[in-house]
Order: sequence, then C-alpha cells, then structure tokens
Amino acid sequence: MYIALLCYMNMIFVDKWKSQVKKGVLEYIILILLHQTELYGYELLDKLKDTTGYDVAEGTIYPLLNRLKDEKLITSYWKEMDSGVPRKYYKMTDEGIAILAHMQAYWIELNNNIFTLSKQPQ
Amino acid sequence: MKLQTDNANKILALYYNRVHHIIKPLAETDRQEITMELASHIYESMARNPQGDEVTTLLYALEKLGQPETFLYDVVAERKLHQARKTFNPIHLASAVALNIGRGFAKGILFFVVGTVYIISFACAATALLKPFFPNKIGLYTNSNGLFAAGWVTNIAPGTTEWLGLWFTPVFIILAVLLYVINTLLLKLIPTTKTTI
Repeated sequence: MYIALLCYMNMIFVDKWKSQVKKGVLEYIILILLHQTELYGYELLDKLKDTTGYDVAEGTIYPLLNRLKDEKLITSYWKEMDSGVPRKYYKMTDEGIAILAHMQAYWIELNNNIFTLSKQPQ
Repeated sequence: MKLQTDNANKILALYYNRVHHIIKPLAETDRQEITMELASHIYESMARNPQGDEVTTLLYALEKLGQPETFLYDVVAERKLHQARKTFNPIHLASAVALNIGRGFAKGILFFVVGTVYIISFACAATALLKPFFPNKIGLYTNSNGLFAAGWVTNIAPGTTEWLGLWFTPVFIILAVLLYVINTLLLKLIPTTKTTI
C-alpha cells in the first residue's frame, strides 16, 4: 500500500515536471515548425501533436502566437479559401529565424551538458 | 460563418456573444481579426472531426477550443497593453492596467504601482487646473512643524508657507506630463510572457 502510494506521488511529480518542461519549450517548438513551413493555427496544433505528442488546449495557442507576433518573431497574413472561410497563416520573420538559431544553439549546449552530467560516475 | 441547422447556428451565436463580450475593450481591427481567426479555427476543426450530426460536431469543436473567457483573457490583456503603449491614450492605459493587474502576483504588483503613478499624475493635473479657482486651498505648503504637503490642503495652520503661488499650475502640469510619459515608457519594460498549456 505504502509503495503504491509512493509510486503514485512520484508519478504526480514527474507529470508536473513534464508539464513545466512543455511550457518552457512550446514557443521553441512552434518556431521550429514555422521555420519549416507556413502554417495556420489549426494546422500548427495538428503538427504539434503529430511531431511531439503535445496535446495542447487548442485556444491557448492563440495567445502564444499573438505574443510571438508582438515580439516580431513571426508574422501573419490571410489567405482566401474555396470554402469561403479564410485561413490566417503564420510565418517566420528574419528576426525570428535569427532568434531561433540562438535558441537551437543553446538547446544543443544544454542537452550536451545534461547528457555529460548524467554520465558522470555517482 | 453560417452553419446548416438552426440549432448549430444558435449555439455558435451564443459562443460568439461570449467572445464579443470579452474582446469588447479592443480596437475594431483587433476584434475583427480575433473573430475571423476563431471562425476559421472552428470551421477547420469541424471539417476534420465530424461527429455525426452538425450540432455534435460543433459542440466537439467548441469544447476542444476551450472557454473563450480563459484563453482570450491573455490575448485581450496583451493586445490592450500593446494599444496603450502605442497610443499613450489614458482610456486605453486605464483599461490595460485594469486587465493586467490580475495576471499573476508579481505582474499584479507592477501594474498596481503603474496604476498608482497614473492616479498621482491625474491628481497633479487636476489640482494644477483647479489652483486659479481655489488659490488659498491648493499649493505646495511647508511649515516649521515639518509639514510638507502638495495639492488640496484644509486647516492650514498659522506659520505655514505656500511656495509656488500661481506658478503651482505650470509646475504641476509639467510634473503630471512627466509622470505620465515616464510611467508609460516604463510600462513598455514590463514583460508580457505567460504560457499556459
């Protein structure tokens, strides 16, 4: 009983940690996806789920995209569709591409450091 | 966006009413942009996730999208702040401060300070404009008992000196403008980052 409770508490801790990590890297992943191709909001959510397994609450993507736009890392434009309902496409700016390069360099450095640390003898 | 059944259109209209209520403080272009993007999202979601009948498909799409009061709050608070920073308009500034004061403890304190400085700035301007009408009540007062008061002062003790006279008006107008401009520039330094997933 005690061991089961301990396992459950550990899982809660891990879940919370995963959620914090996700929050931290969500903007980074969105920038990576938009660097690959221009995407509209719903398509971005789909890609996010397919490539990373992130099942983001759909509405929350828009404050994030709005913020990235305010920071001038991405920009948007409307595209008319045959359905009559236009799509708002997001794409990277030159500034966004430059920032993403810095983020990628830092990510690789951090990843290497954590990997090295985890391989050190106890 | 027009759906095929009356019930689906009614449900959508109710959802949009909630959206319009939340985004009311924003500029017309921002409101239009948000509404169009939500319509686009709902349309795409319904097209990709059919659930049998139209009403069920719409309800599923709206549930996945989430409560507009939750996910649009940050958008409205940030767009309003953006508009206020750009325009220096006191009405937009008051609205932006009110919307942002509830966004986390640290940010709440920062916006409380910013809001207080705006109130002081308006108080300076108001007393400056009222000075010619109440020359003996408004001023910059000191006395030997350690009194230092600016603005509207009642029960002025004997021996109290008023230093500015009618200069109070231009001096406090300048002070009000300086506080307003510096505070608005400082507002630009407050980070807006908050990620919720």
